[in-house]
Amino acid sequence: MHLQVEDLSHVYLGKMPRPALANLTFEVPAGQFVALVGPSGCGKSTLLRLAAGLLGVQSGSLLLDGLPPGQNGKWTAWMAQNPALLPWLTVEENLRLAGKLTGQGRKIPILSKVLREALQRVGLGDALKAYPHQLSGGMQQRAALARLLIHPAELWLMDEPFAALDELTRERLAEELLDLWQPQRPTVLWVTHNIREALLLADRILVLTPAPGEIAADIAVALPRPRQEDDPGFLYMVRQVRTCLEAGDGA
Amino acid sequence: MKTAQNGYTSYLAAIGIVLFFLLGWEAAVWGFGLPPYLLPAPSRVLATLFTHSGVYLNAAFLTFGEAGAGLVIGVLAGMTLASLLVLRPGMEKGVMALAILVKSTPLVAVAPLLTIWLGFGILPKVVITALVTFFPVLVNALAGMQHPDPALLDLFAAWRADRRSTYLHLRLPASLPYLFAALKISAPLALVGAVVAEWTGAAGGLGRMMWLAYTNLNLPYLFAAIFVLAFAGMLVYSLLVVLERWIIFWNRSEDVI
Repeated sequence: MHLQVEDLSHVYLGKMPRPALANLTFEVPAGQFVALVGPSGCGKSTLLRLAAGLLGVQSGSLLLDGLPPGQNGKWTAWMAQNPALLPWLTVEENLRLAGKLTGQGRKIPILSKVLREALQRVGLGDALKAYPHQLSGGMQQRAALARLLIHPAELWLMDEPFAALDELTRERLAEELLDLWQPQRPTVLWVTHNIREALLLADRILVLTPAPGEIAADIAVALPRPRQEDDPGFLYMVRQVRTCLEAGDGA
Repeated sequence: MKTAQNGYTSYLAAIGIVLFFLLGWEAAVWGFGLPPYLLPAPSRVLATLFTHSGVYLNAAFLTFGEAGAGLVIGVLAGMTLASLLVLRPGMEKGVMALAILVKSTPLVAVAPLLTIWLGFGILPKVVITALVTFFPVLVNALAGMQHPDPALLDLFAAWRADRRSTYLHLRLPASLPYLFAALKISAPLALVGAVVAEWTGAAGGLGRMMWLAYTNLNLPYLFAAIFVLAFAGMLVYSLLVVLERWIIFWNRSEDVI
């Protein structure tokens, strides 16, 4: 899905209006994996929420394949730090419900085969009948990943989905996410504050300034996959992104 | 295992405290030589209860029936109204103002009126009970339906789920823990409602027995009814706790694999 952002600003209204984004302009071609990096509160999540249609666009424009979010009839996959599984449903029921509600009015139930395949691809083949509270945090995020796979979405909006997990699980899930992403290549907007994670995953890194977020740097990551963290090219890019972040921070 | 043991000992502790209290009461009555028309000893109350067990049982059936019917109606009405307010927002302020008006009108002020209008049968008792149980259910169910986990609300919004699906699959189940919190308030209130309604005129029931005992200063009789009510209140509460653990299984954190 092609994403086009033009002159996008956002202010959280209230007694003390808080500007979150200022005059953002960028474009993401279909199939690109973009990481949004920036200090806390710079509006990364706001941008994601605008793209998901969770917030209304106030000024400027944000278009998905030429149409505002929510009007193009396509479903965008949403995943955040909280795995957001319904606690009273089993993993299987969670996936079926997602299939039903994101099926755009198609009343066709999800095939058990599709469901099992999705769970197997994230390594949860045995957890069909488990309730979320019986799973570890990593397994819950795996179930949430499987939920993205039941209908092919053309845009994945991901707000630090693995931030709450321990480092090993986070690295393993990041690798698995790439494996899931590569066959269909949906467009991805990936919010993170972790430079290494951004460089391991993304084709391109957008560095935002502190709030109100503007684009401080637009960095293409030309490293071949799979990427190695101790590779000199990788280390060089880590420094490059860090420099951009620090420059934007005014430090 | 540890939590189970703790639960067990805390039950024992509760029973111990009650026994201690009853024994102290018994000792005080004998020690100070209090007459039964002021304060009967627990042993005497229990004796009264057992000699007239048939009478008390019949009265209890009637009162608990009224309380139960009123509670069911109150809960259904509270849940239905909360659902309507969630599905059709915009009328909340008006409806809540009316509900608060009903809630803040004292029960004892309304009960005699309803008895005059509806007679000495069970109907005014059921209506009173429904009125007092309705409000806690409405407020709690509404809070539960309006505030599910924000992450889940985000997800449903990102899915573009319509209001109806969001209600059915998210808001309604998310309100169940709140509903149980309300039931723990409403179920004992239902007993109060039925008894108070019976005081204002009734053909039978525990409240009627209490009122008769009171006018005759027959305190062992009065206390026997109080014992039955206290026991029933405790029993209902415990049942609710068990039911809650069973229905809202996902809120238990101790049985993680």
